[in-house]
Amino acid sequence: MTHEIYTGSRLEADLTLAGDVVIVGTGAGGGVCAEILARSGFRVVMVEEGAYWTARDFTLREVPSFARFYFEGGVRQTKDKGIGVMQGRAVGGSTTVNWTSSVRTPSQTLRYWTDTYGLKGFTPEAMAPWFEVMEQRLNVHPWTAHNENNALLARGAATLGWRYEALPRNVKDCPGLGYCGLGCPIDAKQSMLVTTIPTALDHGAVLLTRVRADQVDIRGDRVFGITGVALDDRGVRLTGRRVRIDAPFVIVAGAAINSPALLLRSNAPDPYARLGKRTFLQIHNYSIAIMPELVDAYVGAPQSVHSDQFLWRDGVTGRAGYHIEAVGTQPAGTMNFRKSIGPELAQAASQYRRTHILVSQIRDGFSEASPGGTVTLRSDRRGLLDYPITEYIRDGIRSSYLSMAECQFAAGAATVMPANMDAQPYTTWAEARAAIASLSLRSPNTVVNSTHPLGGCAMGEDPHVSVVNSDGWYHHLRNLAVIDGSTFPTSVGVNPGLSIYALAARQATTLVAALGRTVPEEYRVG
Amino acid sequence: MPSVNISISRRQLLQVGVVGSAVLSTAGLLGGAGQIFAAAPAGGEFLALSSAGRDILRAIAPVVLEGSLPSDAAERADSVEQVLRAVDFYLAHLPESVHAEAEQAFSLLSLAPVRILLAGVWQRWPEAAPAEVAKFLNGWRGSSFELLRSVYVFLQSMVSIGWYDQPRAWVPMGYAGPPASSLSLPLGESHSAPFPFGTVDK
Repeated sequence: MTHEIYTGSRLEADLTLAGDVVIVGTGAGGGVCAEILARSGFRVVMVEEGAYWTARDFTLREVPSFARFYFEGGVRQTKDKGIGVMQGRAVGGSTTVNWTSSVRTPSQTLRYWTDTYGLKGFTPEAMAPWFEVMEQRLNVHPWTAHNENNALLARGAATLGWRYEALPRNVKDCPGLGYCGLGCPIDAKQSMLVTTIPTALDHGAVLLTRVRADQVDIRGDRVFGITGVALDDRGVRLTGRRVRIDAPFVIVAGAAINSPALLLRSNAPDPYARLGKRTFLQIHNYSIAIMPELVDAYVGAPQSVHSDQFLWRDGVTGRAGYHIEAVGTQPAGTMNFRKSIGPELAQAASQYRRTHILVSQIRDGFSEASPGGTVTLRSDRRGLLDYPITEYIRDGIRSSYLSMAECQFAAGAATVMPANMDAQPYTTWAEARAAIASLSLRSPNTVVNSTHPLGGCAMGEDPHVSVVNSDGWYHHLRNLAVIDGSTFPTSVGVNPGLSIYALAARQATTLVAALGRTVPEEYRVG
Repeated sequence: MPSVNISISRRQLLQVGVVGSAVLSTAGLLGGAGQIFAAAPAGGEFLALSSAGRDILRAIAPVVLEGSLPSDAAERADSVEQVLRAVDFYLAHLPESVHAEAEQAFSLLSLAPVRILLAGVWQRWPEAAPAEVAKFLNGWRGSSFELLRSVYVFLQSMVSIGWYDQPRAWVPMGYAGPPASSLSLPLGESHSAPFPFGTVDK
C-alpha cells in the first residue's frame, strides 16, 4: 500500500496539488473528517504543521518531547504571558499527546448551547448516537486498573461523599505505561495518528507535514483552496518553499487559536467581528500533596478517575464551576510545579515518589462574567490569544484550591500545597483552608495553564454572535467549514476530546450528504 | 508542562522604578535602539543558546540545584552542561519571537548596570559568587515587581526542566526512568529517519 505523503521541510521546489477537499489540521476534528470524506470517495488533502512522528520517535523523554510534539514547547503564551497553552503539533494533533480521557459532553453544556445559541442537532438525545459511533471507532471503554494516584482521588471523593466516576479511555491493549503526554510508544492509544489518518491514507488521501496553512484563497463568497508555507525540520523557520492546494471545499480544523488565526490571515468576511472572539481555556490549576506512602503517579493510566462534584455547583450560569482530575507525574513536568531553588527544591525531589497532584479545570463561557479571550494576529502573522484572568476565574481558582486540598487531606495527605509560589505546604485541612482563603492570586506565582483551548469560531444560528452554523459551515462563505474544538460556543466543562470526535463525525457526514456522496455504513446514524 | 514566563521590555523595566530607570539610562537603553537586545550568535555546537545565556545558566544552575547535583566535580560540571544542552534544544524549537524574548532576558542580565544594581551580582556571570547569585534569585523570587518574578520563574524553569529530564537527577528521586530502551540516545535523537520527500511504502 503506497501512501502519498509530502514532508514540507524536504521540499526542493514549490508544490501545487489538487483535491476535492483540503483539510487544515489532523487532530480530533481534521482526523475524523479525513477518514469519513476519504472513505466516501473524495480526494482529501491533509495539511499539517507538525511532523509525522510515530511510535518509534516517542522516547518518553520530556524536554525533546515537549519541544517537538507541542506548539511552542507546550507553553504557548497568552498575550500578557499569564497562561501557557498546551496544544499538540504533530500528525494527529493533540490526540497524539493527550491523556486519553474520553468523556461525553455534559448534557448541561449541550442544553446550554441549544437554548442560548440555537444550535440544531446538539441536544443530548441527538448527540448520543454520535458519541456511540466514535466510542466504537476509537475503542473507548471505562478503565478499571486505576493507579494509586487516581485511587487517591477516588478515596478522597468517597470519604467526602462527592460524586466521582471512572473515566473512559480510547486505548487498545494498554498496559498503562503512564507517559501518554509524550506520545504512545506502543500504539495503544487510539489517537488519530493510528486510526483515522492511516485509514484516510489507505483511501487515497494525501498528507503534507511541516506545512503551515497560510491563507485560504477567498474570492467573493467562495473559496478555491489554500496556500501554505513549508517549515524546516524543527518547525521553526520558513524554508521559502510554498504550497498551493486547489480544492472546491475547505475544512479548517486547526483548533482554537490556529483556526481563527488562519481565517483572520485570509481576510475572511467577518461583518460582525466574531472571528477569534469567545476563546475559552478551561484554565487548569493544581494542588500538590505529599502522601505518607508511595504513589508513583508516573506509572499507570495518568487520568482514569474524575469528579464533577463542583462543575455545576452554582447552576450552569452561576459562579465558575470546575472539574477535578488526577495528574500524571513525569519528573521534569512535576518538578516544574515547584518554583523553589536549592535545598527546598532538593527536598521536593526527595518526595517525588510520594507526590500526588490534582488538577481543576475551570469551566468558562457560561456566564456574562466569563466572556473568554480573543485571538488576534501577531506581527509574524501567528495567532495570539489575549485571555484576561477575571474575578470569575480567580473565584474558580480559589474555590478549587480549597476543594482539591480537602480531597487530598481526606485521602490521607501528609501535606498539601497549591501550585503557587505564594503558598506553603499545609499539614492540616484547617490550616490549608485558612491560608487559601487569603492566598494572593497573581502572575506568575499562581501556576495556571490550559490543555483545552476551545472556541474562537463559535457555532450558532445567528451570524451576529457566531462564525459557523450548526453544521460547521462558515456563515459568509459558500464552501468552507470549520470542524474542530474552535467551534464550541463555550468551553465543554470536561476533557473535550470525545466532544470534538463526535461533533466532527456528525458534521463530516452531513457534509458528505450535502456534496452528494454516500456516507460509510459505520457512520450512518438513525 | 513547563510554565515558563518570559518577557522583558523596556516599558516593563521602567516599572521597576527609579533605580531601574537610572540603570537603563546608564546603559544607554532609553534611546529607542532595539539593537541592544539583539541576541549574540550562538557559538560552538549550540543551536540557540547565546554565550550570554550560557554564562548565566552556568552561574545559576549550581545555585538552583544546590543539594541536588552530584558531589563529584566532573559529574557536577557535566550535569550543568547537560542542563544547557536541554535548554538549548528547547529554545531551538520555539518560534523565533519567543526565542528572541528569552535571549533579551539574558542580554539584559548581562549588562553590567543591570547585573550589579538590579541583581546585586558584582562580578561578571562566569565569576559570580554563589552567595550573591542565591541572594539575587531569592530577591527576584519575592520581588513586588511582576517582571522580576517572571524572570526568576523563567530562569528557575529552564534549569529545572533541563535537570529533571536527566537520568542523573532521577537517582535521588528514586525514579527508575521511563519504560523505554531509548535512554541511551542523545537528546533529540530518534530511532526513525524522517519521511523522505514523495511517497512512502507501508
